[in-house]
Amino acid sequence: MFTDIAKLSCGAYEQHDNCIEIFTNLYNVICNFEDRILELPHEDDETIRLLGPFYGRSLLENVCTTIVGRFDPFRILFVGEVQKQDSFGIASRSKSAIQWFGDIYEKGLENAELVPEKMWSSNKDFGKVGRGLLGDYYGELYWRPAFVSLLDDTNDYIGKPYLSDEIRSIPPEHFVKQTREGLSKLYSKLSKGVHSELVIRSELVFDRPTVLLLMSEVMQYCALLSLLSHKVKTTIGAMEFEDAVKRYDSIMERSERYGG
Amino acid sequence: MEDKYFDSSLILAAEDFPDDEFEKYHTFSEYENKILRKLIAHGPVLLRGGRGSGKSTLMKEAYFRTNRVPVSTSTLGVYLSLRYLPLLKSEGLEYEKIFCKLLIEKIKNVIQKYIETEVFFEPEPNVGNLQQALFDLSSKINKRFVLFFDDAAHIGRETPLKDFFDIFRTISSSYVSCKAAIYPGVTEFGTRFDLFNDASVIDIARNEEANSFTPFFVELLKVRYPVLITDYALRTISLEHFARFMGRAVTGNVRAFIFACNYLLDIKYSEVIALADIEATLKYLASEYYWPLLEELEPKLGGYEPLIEPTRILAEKLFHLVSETLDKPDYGPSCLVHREHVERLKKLFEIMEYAGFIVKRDASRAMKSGGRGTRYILNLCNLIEVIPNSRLTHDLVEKWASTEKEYCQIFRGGELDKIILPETSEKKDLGILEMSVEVLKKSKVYPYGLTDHKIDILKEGEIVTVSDLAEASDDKLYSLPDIGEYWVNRIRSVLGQAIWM
Repeated sequence: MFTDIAKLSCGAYEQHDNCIEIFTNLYNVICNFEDRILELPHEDDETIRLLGPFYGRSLLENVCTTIVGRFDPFRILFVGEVQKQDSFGIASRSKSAIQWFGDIYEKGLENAELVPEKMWSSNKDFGKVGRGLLGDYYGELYWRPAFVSLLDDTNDYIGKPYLSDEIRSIPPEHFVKQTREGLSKLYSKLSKGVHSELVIRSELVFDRPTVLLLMSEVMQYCALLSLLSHKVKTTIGAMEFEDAVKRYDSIMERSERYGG
Repeated sequence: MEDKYFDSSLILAAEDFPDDEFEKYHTFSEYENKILRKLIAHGPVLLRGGRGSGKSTLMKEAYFRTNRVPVSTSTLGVYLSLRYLPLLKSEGLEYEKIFCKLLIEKIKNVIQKYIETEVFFEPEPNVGNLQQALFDLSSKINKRFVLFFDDAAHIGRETPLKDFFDIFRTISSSYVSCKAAIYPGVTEFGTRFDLFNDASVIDIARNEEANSFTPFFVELLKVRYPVLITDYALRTISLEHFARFMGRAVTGNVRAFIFACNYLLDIKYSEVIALADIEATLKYLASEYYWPLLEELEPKLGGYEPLIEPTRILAEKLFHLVSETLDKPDYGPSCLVHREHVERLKKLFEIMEYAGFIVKRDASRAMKSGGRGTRYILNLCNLIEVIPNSRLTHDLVEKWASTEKEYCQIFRGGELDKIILPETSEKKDLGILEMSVEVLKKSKVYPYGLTDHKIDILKEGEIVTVSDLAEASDDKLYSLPDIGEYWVNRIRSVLGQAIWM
């Protein structure tokens, strides 16, 4: 069984007793999807078209949920408690669940709002500050410093073949915006393959080369966000960075050859 | 008599290979295959790379694959080179009409070649009509269109680019995937086109640190230069070492690699390739390939023509600065340039990248003096020209073949601050168009250029300038003495290189 994405995204969660149950569940789900995605190229075209987008989106959502939980354990513990209650039922929408729009994706600030005097104004109402994983506040406080730290790491991790080119071509000031937009596009594409919204021929939109490329992009985004999360010292379950890089390398190596 | 002999060593550009010879002379490593997968899959893609980096090769290979089983079960590929002078000279609705006419013709050809059932495809030459017709046709033949637009952007003429990207965006749909090849430095995408939202951008940069780098150049040597790589010829250096070093010397650029190998074949004094032969090849490339490239580029830059001289100055300074650090342990042939310089001299760096003097390796790295900079690797040909003693030794080959730990850092101020940027104007016409057809003569720059005899024939037929030739119809060319199908194709090909590179 392949476990690199699960291990890299969940990190060393075992050391945190109060959320071990939640992260174990997430870990198992991620392992399952990771494995299925790696087996997918052996399936026929129709299976790939029907299942690929679902597997991809599920993996992406679970990895992002895990990372949200590692940045902000309060958020995931809260959801865990809600779901333990008798009142929680699967037949109705849960308002407290971790949402793609809000908890993970957050619209970027307008350029005028991105300037330091606006972002960090003392008049800012904290309740209205976006806390989405890919929002600009997370970007400024966590992702950008983590990205710069990766670029400047004295161990020169970015010199490694699979870690290199795409990452190295991104200026740090564009990292969050580029990642947010890339991930959002990827999520939308996968969603179109999951929902029955396509009334046109889905076999043309989701043919084998397209779905397999989407799967490899899912792996790469999961790998990159998970890797960087280990550069943020305030996340829980942070791994030794060198170990994280090894996991990242093997995911990237598989994704680069995926379906080829 | 017509010269029908096909000589692959003369061919520097993928677009000049006849389709039936293409496969025989091209090879694709893991790196190229990764890009090809993106070019075949659904979704808009911009493929960005300097001259000779392999854009057209990848576009053509992807086109062939989309029309070959198994991919062709769901796709129909259409390859369209936009090397067409009227497109360069037009804007707005006129551009749209010319563009659509060209594309419609190409699609018809592809349908005729690959679709067995009878289909109707006669849209009006406007984007709205074409888009609808593509949608209808796609539904009927049950295939997704993959449109490959090669040479979509001309380095010296940015105005029509806005129109192109408008069309690119509008025509992309659920059944139509658009892919276009562009150069580093294309900045005019128009107001409706968002570079990162409306397309994925792939930069072609063969990285010598990647595992696929050496095998790619080894394979290329096997396919194109079997005589160069016999055990006998490569007695002093292993094939892998030779391929990697030569690949790195030209910063992974295939066109320059081919140019280098051709020269090496010519000058090899004995059956064995000696270090002196490699050194002579690098120096030859510096003086006969890289520097002339800047001159060749000048009349094709339109309003940016005045930037060639400062680019030359910048290149000289950069190579000198790096050469001064090369004696230090761990220092390699690359440099980290402070972002203020890169910002101010942006266009010059882009021209240098386009011409293959440098390749951007890191967008942002910390500098020792504080602040951040961009790291570029340098080609080894222009570098060996300026290093003291200027000799290629085994030690140097060894050093340049390994990954550097340190590199020259070019801080704020200093030498690069002295470079003055002249005024440029976007509207200026391309100088090459008004030049005499004499410039198309067979030469090192145009190895498959025209003979004196053919140039005289053109002139006698009142085709005096490059522009006259570009505007001459095939019928007009056929009406001239001694010009048949072979020469019409060769004229079109050299013309394409002269105007578009």
